[in-house]
Amino acid sequence: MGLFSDILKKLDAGNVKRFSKGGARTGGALELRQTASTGGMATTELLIRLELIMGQASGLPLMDYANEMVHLSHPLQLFIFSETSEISNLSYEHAHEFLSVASTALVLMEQKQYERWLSGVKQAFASGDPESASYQIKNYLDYTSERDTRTAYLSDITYTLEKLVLSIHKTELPIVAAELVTENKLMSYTDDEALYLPLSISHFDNYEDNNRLYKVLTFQLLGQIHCKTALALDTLSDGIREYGDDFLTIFSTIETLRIDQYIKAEFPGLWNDIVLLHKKAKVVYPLNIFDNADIHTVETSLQLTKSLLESKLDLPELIYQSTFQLALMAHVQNVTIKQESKRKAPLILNPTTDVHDELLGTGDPKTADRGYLRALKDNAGDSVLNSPPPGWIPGSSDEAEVAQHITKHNEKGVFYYREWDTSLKSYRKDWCRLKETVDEDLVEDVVIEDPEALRHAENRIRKTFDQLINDQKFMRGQNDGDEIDIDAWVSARSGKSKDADDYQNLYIRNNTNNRDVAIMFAVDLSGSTSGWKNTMIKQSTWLLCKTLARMGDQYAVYGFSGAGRNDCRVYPVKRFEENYTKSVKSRIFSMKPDQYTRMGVAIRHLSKLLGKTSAKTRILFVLTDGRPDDVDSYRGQYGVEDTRLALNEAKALSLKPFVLTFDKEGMDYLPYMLGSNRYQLITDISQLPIQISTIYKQLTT
Amino acid sequence: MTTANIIENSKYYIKDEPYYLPTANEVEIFNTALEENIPVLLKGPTGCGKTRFMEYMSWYTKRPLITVSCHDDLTTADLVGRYLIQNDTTVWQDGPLTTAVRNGCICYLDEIVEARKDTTVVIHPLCDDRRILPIEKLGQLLQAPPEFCLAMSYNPGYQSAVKDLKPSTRQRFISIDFSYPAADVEAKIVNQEAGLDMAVCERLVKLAEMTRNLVGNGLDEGASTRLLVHAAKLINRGFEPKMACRCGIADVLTDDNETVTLLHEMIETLF
Ligand SMILES: Nc1ncnc2c1ncn2[C@@H]1O[C@H](COP(=O)(O)OP(=O)(O)O)[C@@H](O)[C@H]1O
Ligand SMILES: [Mg+2]
Repeated sequence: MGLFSDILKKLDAGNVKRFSKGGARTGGALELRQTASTGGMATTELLIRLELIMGQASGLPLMDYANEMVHLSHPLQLFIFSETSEISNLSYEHAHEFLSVASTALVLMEQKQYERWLSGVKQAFASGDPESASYQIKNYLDYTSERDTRTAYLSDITYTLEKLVLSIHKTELPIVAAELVTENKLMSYTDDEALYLPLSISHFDNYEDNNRLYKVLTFQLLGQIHCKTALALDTLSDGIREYGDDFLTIFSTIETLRIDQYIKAEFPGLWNDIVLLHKKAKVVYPLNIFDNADIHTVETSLQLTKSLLESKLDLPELIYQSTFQLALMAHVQNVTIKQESKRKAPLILNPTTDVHDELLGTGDPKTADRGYLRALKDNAGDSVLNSPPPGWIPGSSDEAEVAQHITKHNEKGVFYYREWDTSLKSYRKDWCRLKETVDEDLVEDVVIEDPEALRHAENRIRKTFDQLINDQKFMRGQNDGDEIDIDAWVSARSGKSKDADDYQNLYIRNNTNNRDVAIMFAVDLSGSTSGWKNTMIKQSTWLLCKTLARMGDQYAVYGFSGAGRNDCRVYPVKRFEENYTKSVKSRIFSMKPDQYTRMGVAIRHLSKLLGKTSAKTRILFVLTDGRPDDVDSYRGQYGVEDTRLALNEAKALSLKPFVLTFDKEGMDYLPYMLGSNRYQLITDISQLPIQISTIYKQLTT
Repeated sequence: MTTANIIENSKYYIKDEPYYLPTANEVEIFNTALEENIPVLLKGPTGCGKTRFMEYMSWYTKRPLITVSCHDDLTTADLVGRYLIQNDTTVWQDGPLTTAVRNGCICYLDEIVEARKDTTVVIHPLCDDRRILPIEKLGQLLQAPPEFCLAMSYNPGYQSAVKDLKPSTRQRFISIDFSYPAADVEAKIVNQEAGLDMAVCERLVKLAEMTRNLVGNGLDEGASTRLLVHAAKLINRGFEPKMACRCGIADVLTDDNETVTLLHEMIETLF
């Protein structure tokens, strides 16, 4: 009996296995594969890294944490490592507390929410309140729901504010989180190079007004720059020396009122917002204070300040009044005097500015929440990424990473693209760094091994293409056209019934140029394409380029490869605006197998280029030998999902993607990635040139 | 074969003076180009007065204006002419370009890069010293009279490298720059066109400038003078300014939600 049931079990198991294999085409096998690799690190690797941060003999249940973390995606795992090591620098206890909830918390939260959560924790540390930090770590659930509906967060409004500022100021002024809130006062200030605003505002009892306050603060700071407040520096410091801090206090209010005048004149809509805030805060606004002076310069404010010192007039308390600081003004003046073109680090230091400063110092237009937190994350993440897992030493390559950030966004031929993180269900902004690289050492004399076979293939391609051209050339019997269709005319005349309709369609329309096609060939140059595959790819590309010219279609060829998200590469072989020349030929034959296949970013970049052409039919043709795969977790479900999203984005640009693959397992994921009829498997690689031309014909007609 | 030699006067002449406010010395340049028989290229974004300028110049010089809007299906025959069949015989029908050459009109090819390159080559012999229009089907070489003038418009902004003018075409022309007018001029135009209060017009222009600063940051092109005129007309009809700007400007410029929201925010700061 026992034996029998055992056999039954085995049979069952066999069946299950076979079923799941059969289900491959419907996507079932895909799921299986994905659970086998979530794209993240495995438990052992996680454990080693946790021990590196928390210490080996910590007595903590690190294995449990590793087991929890194994279900997360690679980026999230890295995020936990970097946050843990950062918190552990502040307090080991808290780092442990963080670890014990991190895996659960991060799954529940959106990126924005957990960034808020952790910045809340760090703020608590910075203001010397470890208890509150610990409370916040444990009560991460507070951040998952929008329980607090009145608070406005800087991170939510940064994009809008930055663009609004750009539209007025013409140059970008990054919006950065200000120093921490002290004594319940909102801090906002500017050094003419960035606008510093509070991380969150909950001053009013509803979200609309708090949001409004953000806008008003921003315009006040813009106003400061525009109204040249910084010119007051000398007089102001004299005044403070003479009258004490009262002088600064009064000046601050007066200057705010002066900037109000500017806003009122230039941005009446925003002035309405200010008036609303006045009402809410029950401010008695001194309307006529600037009535007497004709030109309101900062001098006017200073004079008013002096006269008010004596009369002790009551000034309103304005919630949106920014923080005026001599140090900042001095900085502004220095910059103006020296006409420095390079940006200086901001003067105000806050406890968490180490990385922050360097970022700002480089003109990196990134912002508080989006930039600062991400910068920490990026740096920590990269240091993990770039070193081989076993011998990993935390922070070893930090400096190099920061240096890389410094050149970010200014480099020529470098582009940043987002990437879809399927475990987060959201995009990671600017995640991949892609560089267009032109290979310098080109093959000069191209030697073709089997010219006879190629000539045959070339003839076949030509024939296929000639058909295409001829198919199109003359459309007879049209009701309008360039020539008269004599045949139609004769047949109409000789027709028995003199049907008027026959006389309508007597033209030949020459449609040669109605073909309006642009095609982008994206060629996978990953290491796995070496050898025979590479030779075939090169020869097919060459034949295609040679013959495509006669069709008058626009076409481009780019190779892609890379190693890790910071080193994605595309190799222009032939650009759209180029003609087929000898150097294109030598670039084709210089294509060589490179490293990995991070497909999403390549598709995004090449879609963008293709999207710029104006053809009616635009085809993105991807030639690859396998599934998306890259060193840093870009594999399994993660890679497939990101590639799928990238292809969807291409479709949204009204491009037609098509994938031709050598990968026999391609059927497992291609249907899911692309939808039907958008991929083909090529089994006999020697047929590649002819296959491509046939597919090309199918796609373009 | 019959050809119409004289066009109906009423059809192509502009009788009433169109409102056109010069922004620089474009009127003088155009007149000189006319006298010297050099074709003219009007370069600038859409809706900044190119068409209006041509109408004005047509009225000013008392020459009829023939406008052709170019598109990618435009054939050479559409420009030059073709045989039609009527009552069992063929009749030649002049295309607009031929009509313009025969009658000494101003021929204005709007958005020239939209036309295919093989279509635009027919203008080459018209644009150099020869000033002839070859009509292949008729076996004729038509000599352009001195009154004939060719002008075309071209928006260098959004076209890609692929859709650019060929140097061989480009270098036959005198180019007049039609970028957005200065703020005060533009406000005056809007004021005149819509009859709206000057102060509001100035604010509209300010909004337009803000959108123009965002080109490349979510917008392909900023708000044109035409859009301002539209919004101004809405306001004049009693629509709330914010509403008018949203319908007349913001929502027209883009479909991207994030950018639309941003444009609405801009409007909120001004009205
Ligand atoms: N200089 C100008 N003088 C008068 N109206 C102008 C001027 N510039 C622009 N406009 C207004 O803008 C509108 C659009 O101009 P239009 O000539 O059609 O633009 P386009 O450059 O696209 O041909 C016109 O209808 C007119 O109301
Ligand atoms: Mg026009």
